[in-house]
Amino acid sequence: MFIFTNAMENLLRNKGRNILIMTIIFLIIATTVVALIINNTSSAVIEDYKTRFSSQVSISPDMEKVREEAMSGASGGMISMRMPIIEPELLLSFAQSEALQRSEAYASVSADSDSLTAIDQSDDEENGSGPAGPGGSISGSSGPGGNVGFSIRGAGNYRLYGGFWEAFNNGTRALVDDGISALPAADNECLVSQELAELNGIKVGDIIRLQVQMSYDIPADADLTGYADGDSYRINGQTYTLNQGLSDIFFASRTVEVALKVTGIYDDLNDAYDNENMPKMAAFNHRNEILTTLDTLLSLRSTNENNINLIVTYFLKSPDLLADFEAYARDAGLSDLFLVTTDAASYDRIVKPVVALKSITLTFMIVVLVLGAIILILLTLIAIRERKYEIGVLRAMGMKKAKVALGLWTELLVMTAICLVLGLGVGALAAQPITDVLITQQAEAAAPDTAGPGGPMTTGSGGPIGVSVIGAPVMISGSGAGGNLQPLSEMDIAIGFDTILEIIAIALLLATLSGLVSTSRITRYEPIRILMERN
Amino acid sequence: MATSANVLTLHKVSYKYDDAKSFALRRVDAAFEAGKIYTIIGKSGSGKSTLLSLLAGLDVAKGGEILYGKKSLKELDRDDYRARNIGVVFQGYNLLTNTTAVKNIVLSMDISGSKEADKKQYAYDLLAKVGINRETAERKILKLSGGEQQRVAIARALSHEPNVILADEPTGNLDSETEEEILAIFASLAHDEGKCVIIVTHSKRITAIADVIYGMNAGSLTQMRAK
Repeated sequence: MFIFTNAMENLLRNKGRNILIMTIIFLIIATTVVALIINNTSSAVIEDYKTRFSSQVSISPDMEKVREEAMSGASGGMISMRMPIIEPELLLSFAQSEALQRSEAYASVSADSDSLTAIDQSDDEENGSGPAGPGGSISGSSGPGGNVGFSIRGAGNYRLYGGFWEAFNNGTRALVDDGISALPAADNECLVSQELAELNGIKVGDIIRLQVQMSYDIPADADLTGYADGDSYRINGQTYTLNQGLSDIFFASRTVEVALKVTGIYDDLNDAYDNENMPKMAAFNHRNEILTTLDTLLSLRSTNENNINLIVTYFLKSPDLLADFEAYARDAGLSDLFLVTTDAASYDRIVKPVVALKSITLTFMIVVLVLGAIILILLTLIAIRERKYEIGVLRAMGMKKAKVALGLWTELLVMTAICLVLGLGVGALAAQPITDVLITQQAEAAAPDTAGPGGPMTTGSGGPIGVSVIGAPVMISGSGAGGNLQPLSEMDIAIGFDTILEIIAIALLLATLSGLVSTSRITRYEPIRILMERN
Repeated sequence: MATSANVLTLHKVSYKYDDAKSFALRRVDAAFEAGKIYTIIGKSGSGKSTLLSLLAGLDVAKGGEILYGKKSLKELDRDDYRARNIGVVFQGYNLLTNTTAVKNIVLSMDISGSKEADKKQYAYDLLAKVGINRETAERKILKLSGGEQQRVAIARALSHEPNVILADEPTGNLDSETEEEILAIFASLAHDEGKCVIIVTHSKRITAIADVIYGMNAGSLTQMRAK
């Protein structure tokens, strides 16, 4: 106990020297705190993005192979290039792979109704930009990720979604509190928006009727000799109407009647349109989205029909299992015309500034620690030299070397503890602005390597990334904003428990290192020599 | 030579400094008993302080043996030996200069593992005994005069109630009145409390009260007088 008391008194007695030592320790700890916080947060962000991007599978057409196939099938100077398709059933079957942690699937299709009025439908008619009934020539579709796409086939003022409940999970949509609204529990049940319900007087329990236009993808080798525009074409047990397009290519379509029982009305917290610049068309208005089950939607489709957009997202148990998943998908029938990949490129692009930041801070921390430790050791040596006489007296009085060393180490430890508290506070405050400056510089440096517009991404805002598969038989591609991903230019810094423990460990290590230097010096001192020198 | 009454016994003790050509101590034989005052006199450089350092366990003899009681110092923990059994009054005082007089005493008691309940009060009492009042006791050592520092050094040597008190010119900086008081303390320690007091000195007053006088000459010790 007297060693501790004596150490405390010594700290107060030798203010000048101790303030100098404490300044060095404080600077080391504060800079280490900043570096460690940035480093650990960077690691967490990198790990998060790594998991997110490298564990979500993307299945997309291998354009090289598609082109080769088109070239090989060329005849009479005409090249017919068709995008390969994956049947929805096949896409859904991939979800059975044991390499997957989970999968998510939803589908959508444009629809019309001759008994309902869509929100902003009148505006469409006034503008003459969209048809009110089935068979129109243009429609807009607004995906859940906020991506807008146009389709020249499959007209519709409504968008019928199957299995898309994510908005209810993230709280942007909710059932109205009427006591009777409920999510569909069975097929052929649906939810409608509050606005659509009010416009048409729809109540829970009502049956609404929609018309969905399904297009048949006529095989390239089909013989349509003798057929004309408007003729009926029967195949796979369905009757289609043929429409002759450019270059005398025929399109086949049929209209499917859908009757859905309304089980609930939902309130949508999102804006009706994705942005203010969008034309006010019924097809773009989120309030015209009708939500049903995935099976209900898929049941509308017959073989080789291509209007329904099926989006399946696969999440691997581990990025290492990509090969296993691909093998499963190939065995299940996935064509060689498709590539199975994780989105490593997006990961690299986004985290590049963070990786650079992590590297900078880690290097900085190592330099600070090494230089700081050297300075601290030198200061300690000088301090010990200054206190040589004091040590000699204590030893002459019979104090053991270990106790003298313990006293000096206690002094260092107390100084380190004070600096630790100050350094943690100052470092934690300084970490965010320093990060902002560094990551902005890194993001600017990384920017020329990236393409496409889009706002900066921040931690925790994954957004719709190019990780899904649009399984529409007509087209399959990576969806979302993969091409628009920007390098991270902001990072929310937080000091975690692990970081605090690491700082404490580093501080203890510094104090112990200096203490060991003191001990090694003290061990060499013989009290009689010190006192003789002095006297 | 070693008898049961001997506190310290030197048997053919030799010592040579690392950088010296000749021996500082040459096969010294001596015995120091409890309850007596010993003085060692001799010219400067004759080896008096070296002998005191060896007796204090601050250094180790190159040849021969020093016994504390019946145990060789080589067998003892020299730190414990110094802390508990020996009180040294150095010629240069060797006090902790950046702290107070009383703190020097208390620290010495702490190091020796003193069981005294109120160490500070004990320190004040001890300092008062050597003529240092409470106000002076609270002053830092550097603020004290040479004589005051010497008294503090004596008080510190007595603080842990050692069996042996070694003093190197303990009254060199004291006025004659204080010297008398200090000598009375040494005499009391030896004759009343049974301590062994060994004093290196040039002072005739001290040699006058000594029970045994040793003369040191070129590293050799000779008993000159015994009462």
